[in-house]
Amino acid sequence: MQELKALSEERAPKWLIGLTAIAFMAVAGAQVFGFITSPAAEQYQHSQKIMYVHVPAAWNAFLAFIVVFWASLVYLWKRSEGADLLAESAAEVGAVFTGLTLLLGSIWGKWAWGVWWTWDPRLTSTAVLFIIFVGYLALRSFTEDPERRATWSAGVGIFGALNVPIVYMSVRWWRTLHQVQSSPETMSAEYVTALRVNGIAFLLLLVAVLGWRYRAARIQRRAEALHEEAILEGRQVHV
Amino acid sequence: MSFRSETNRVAAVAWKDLTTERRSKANFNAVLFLAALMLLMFGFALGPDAASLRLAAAGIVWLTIMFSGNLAFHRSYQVELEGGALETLLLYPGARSSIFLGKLIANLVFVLLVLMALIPIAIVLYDIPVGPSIPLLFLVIFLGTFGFVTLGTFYASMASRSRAREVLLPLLLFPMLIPVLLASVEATGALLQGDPMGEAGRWIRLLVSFDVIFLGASILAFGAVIEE
Amino acid sequence: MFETDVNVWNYVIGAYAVSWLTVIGYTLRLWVLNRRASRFAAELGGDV
Repeated sequence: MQELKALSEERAPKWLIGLTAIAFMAVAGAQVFGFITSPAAEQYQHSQKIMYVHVPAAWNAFLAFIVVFWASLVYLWKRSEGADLLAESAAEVGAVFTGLTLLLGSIWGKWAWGVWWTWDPRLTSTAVLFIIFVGYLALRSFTEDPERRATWSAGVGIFGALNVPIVYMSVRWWRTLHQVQSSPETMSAEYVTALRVNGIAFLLLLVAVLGWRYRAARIQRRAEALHEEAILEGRQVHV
Repeated sequence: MSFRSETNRVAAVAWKDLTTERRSKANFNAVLFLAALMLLMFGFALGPDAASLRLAAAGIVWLTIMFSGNLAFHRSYQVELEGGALETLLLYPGARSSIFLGKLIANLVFVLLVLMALIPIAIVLYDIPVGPSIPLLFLVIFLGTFGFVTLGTFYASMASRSRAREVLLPLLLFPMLIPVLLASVEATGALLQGDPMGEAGRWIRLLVSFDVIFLGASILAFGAVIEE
Repeated sequence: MFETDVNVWNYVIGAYAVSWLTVIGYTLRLWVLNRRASRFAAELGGDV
């Protein structure tokens, strides 16, 4: 089959390869920049450096889930396959970055608070976000029919995203009622630039991994569709 | 479709589900027994100190009802899926959301009945002092159950038709229920102590918002999710 | 609550190591996924 052969030999787009290389260099460069420019913070000493990976990872996670929410809405609206593939890709990428955020938060918390885990509102809401989207990915892997999978996961994606602010608010109230320490909010200006640079580098990384994940999903889906078409037209036997 | 005929459809679906349940009763008895058993097991796990059990009581009862209610939601679709009746139901004219609302009402009645039998058992087992704010307690129980049943009915419509349904429903449902769990447990706990900090009102408002948001979202999304 | 200055670097290095391991690990998974998808298309196309 001509189309399938062409599909299997399709090369990755140049911009994606270039972007990936740039993203990796940018992340490494931004981290070096962060280490050089920022002095040890008074209270948090050098543990403050963890912020340069922790916070950008959290931003990426959050952005990825906004993409899931948006792509899910578009899918239910337009029923376009691309939106479904984008939602699938962003959910997986988002789950990875959420997991990383949790790990880093835990490492920092162990140093600063002496415990690996605390029921801090942001930490807890992030964990809930993580579980919601693990459920989303589980639903996807347990449903075979592509259209059904797309519709269902769009529903679950939208519901999950709607729930995030409610979870955050409820955990915050729950915490203030029980009165325990909260995470530090203020940051002096000398760290802001380094954080921004790291944030931008991570954003490039996000776009790059999203692009690769989307490409794999698209080829897979396209191959399935072409194969099915060939079977229906009697040009090919079912394997 | 007029509003009146839609209400009739909702009532018909709810009545049908409840009649099936009433005729067999097997499911109701099983869920109630499981819930009572869980109350007992929690007692063994956290007791026998009466004071600490009493403190944990609100949380235990809400967790118990969420876990055992989980079983009820499958049944809501299971009978129809086995008989192929869901497709027929979908073929009838009118809004799909009426089917959802009918099933929601049936499940709500089911879970509330389980709770009505369960709460006296919990009061006796954990020696819970029932304070003066009984009407508000009923309101919290209703609002918490409503939020839980709304999402349960919605997610079960998908989970019961997928592979691995027994695992998938709680996996999808429980993380979504964390605000309901927090709000219900905190409000119940506060009201049982006479609400000394005046915090129950805020949790009740959170429950109302949660219920309204997800009832609306479920009604909007159910039509898309249920169709083949 | 706050541990010694020497100790802090262990946590910082640990955090950066975890980050890079995650990023590289996920990149490897993406590479595998892309290859698998291409091979899948080739296999389906092979049995004409």
